[in-house]
Amino acid sequence: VSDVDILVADDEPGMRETLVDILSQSGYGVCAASDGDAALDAIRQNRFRVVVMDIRMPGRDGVDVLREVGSPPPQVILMTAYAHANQMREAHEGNAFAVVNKPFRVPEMLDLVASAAEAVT
Amino acid sequence: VAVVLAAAVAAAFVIVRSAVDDQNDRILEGRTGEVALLLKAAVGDLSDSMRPLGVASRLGGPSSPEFVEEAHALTAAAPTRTVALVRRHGTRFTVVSAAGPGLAPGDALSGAPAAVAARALTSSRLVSTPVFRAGPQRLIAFALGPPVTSPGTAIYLQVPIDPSAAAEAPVTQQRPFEELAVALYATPQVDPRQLIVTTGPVPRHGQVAYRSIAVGGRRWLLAARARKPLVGSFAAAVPWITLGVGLSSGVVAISVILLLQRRRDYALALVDARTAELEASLRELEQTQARLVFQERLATIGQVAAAVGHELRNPLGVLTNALYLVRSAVPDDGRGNERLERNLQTAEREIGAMAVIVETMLDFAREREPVMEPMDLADLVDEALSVAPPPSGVEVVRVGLDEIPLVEGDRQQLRQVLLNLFTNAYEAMAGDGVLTIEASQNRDHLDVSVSDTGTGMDDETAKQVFDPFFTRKVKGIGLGMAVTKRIVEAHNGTITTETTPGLGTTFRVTIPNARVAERVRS
Repeated sequence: VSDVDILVADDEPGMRETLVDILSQSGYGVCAASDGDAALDAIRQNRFRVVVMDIRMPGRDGVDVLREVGSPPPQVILMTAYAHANQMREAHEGNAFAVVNKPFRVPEMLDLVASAAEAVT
Repeated sequence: VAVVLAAAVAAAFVIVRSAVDDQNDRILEGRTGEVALLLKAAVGDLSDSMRPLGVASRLGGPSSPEFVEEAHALTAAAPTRTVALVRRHGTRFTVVSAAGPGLAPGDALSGAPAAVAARALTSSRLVSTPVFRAGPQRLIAFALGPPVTSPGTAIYLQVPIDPSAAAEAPVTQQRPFEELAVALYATPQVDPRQLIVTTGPVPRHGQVAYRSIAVGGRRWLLAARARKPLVGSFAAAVPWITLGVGLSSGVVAISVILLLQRRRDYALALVDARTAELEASLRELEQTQARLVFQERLATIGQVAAAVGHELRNPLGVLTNALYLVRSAVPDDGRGNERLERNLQTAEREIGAMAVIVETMLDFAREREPVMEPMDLADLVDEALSVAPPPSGVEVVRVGLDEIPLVEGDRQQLRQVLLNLFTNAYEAMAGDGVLTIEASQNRDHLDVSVSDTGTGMDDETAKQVFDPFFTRKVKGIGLGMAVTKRIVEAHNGTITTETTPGLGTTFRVTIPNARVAERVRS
């Protein structure tokens, strides 16, 4: 068990890096993954409290990763630039904590992460 | 045509009829002459048959066997006749010898018989009386005097007159009497009391030929009328045949003309109807084609909008995040960072504007079937007005909204329609004017119109107002009205514009069958 609280998974480097910076700046321990497979490996090796993950990624997508996370599951916040009806439904059925449209307001994201982290404890 | 035909037929009828009548007249005249000759001959016969009596009386005396034999011979042939020898005594005449009923020797003659006997004495020829009455009988008498008889005596013959009996038994079998109805009067003019004989109904009217005949010193009148057409029944029928054939061919001709006319009218009406149908089909086809082309274009534009919109969402998100990081890196110590702060705000505002554009494009690209639900139109208008509040210089007038019963539609989409129409109107009025929202609902459809008192549109603009990416605004990408139109059409409705440059514009949305069924309302 590390002191890393949050995993950010996004294949888009700009989004990944800015999110990591924002969350770090807010005091969280943040780890990053650049695709779904790497995200799943990271989740299995660590106990993240919150995963902030893009839906559309190479390899496993965000919904696949959500389906395969073990127990105890972290709270998963999914992000999407494409409001695809099927993926949205699966995201909700897979017990995602929230689904957020890009672009989002940063303070709102921070609020979501905070409440997700609280939901774990 | 009917009048001309009728006139021609009538004229033909009159001409043929007068020709036939003329011919008939001529024949009737001829036949009547023949009858008159026959009658004259008959009267001559009478004179001849009375003559031997006179001779016998003169030579043998009134009681001689010759006279009696002759008298009986004359009455035997016609038992109703009476024949007598009369003698004058002063001014009176008495019967000397008689055969037949009614008279006996010693009887005195009086009245017409006495007068005719007196005339016979002075005349050398047969003389006759007019028809006279003796008791119930009507009689006519003839007398023949000297030189056939001895002076002072006369042969007197009286014959009962019964025209009706004569009519039943024709006087003669000779042809003129078959064809003619003849009446013989003992006077020169028509006088029913002097009627001696008829061979049929007394001829009085129509084509009657008259002939005067001298009998026994008097003038008798013969009236004759054809029993049947003398020219022959076919010839007599010719005028009527002409009339009948003329009229019936007229009727046939007019019927044919009317039939042809009706057929022509029907054919023309049919051609008109078919032409109208064809034109309607053609128009419909053109409209369908235009709609298909338009939809094709919309679909293409939608795909482009979706792709661009989605691709822009990621970089926009990155920019937002990066700006947040920049802002948090700037120390908030209130020392000379105003310019940086201002530029940060500008960047944030423009990123916000970009986000709005992207969402509009995605709205346009996102084709969604309307999800019908009952709703209150007045509420929906209130909601749209609170999302897009009117600028301070714009007055909002609501007409008829509160009388509209629950309507059915996709709440989200119809709210979008109202929002687009309202913001469009605000911009047209440049912050100053009257926005009128008017609604009415009848059995078939819901009408909602949104009017502004803004700049209005010219024809060119009005034509393109629903085209995607058409805009007159400095800002905006021109998808709002295209989205509006698509939503209305997804509700099977129509949207139209009425606009006058300088006065304003009205957008009218008509949605059929928007009324909520009774069960839903209850």
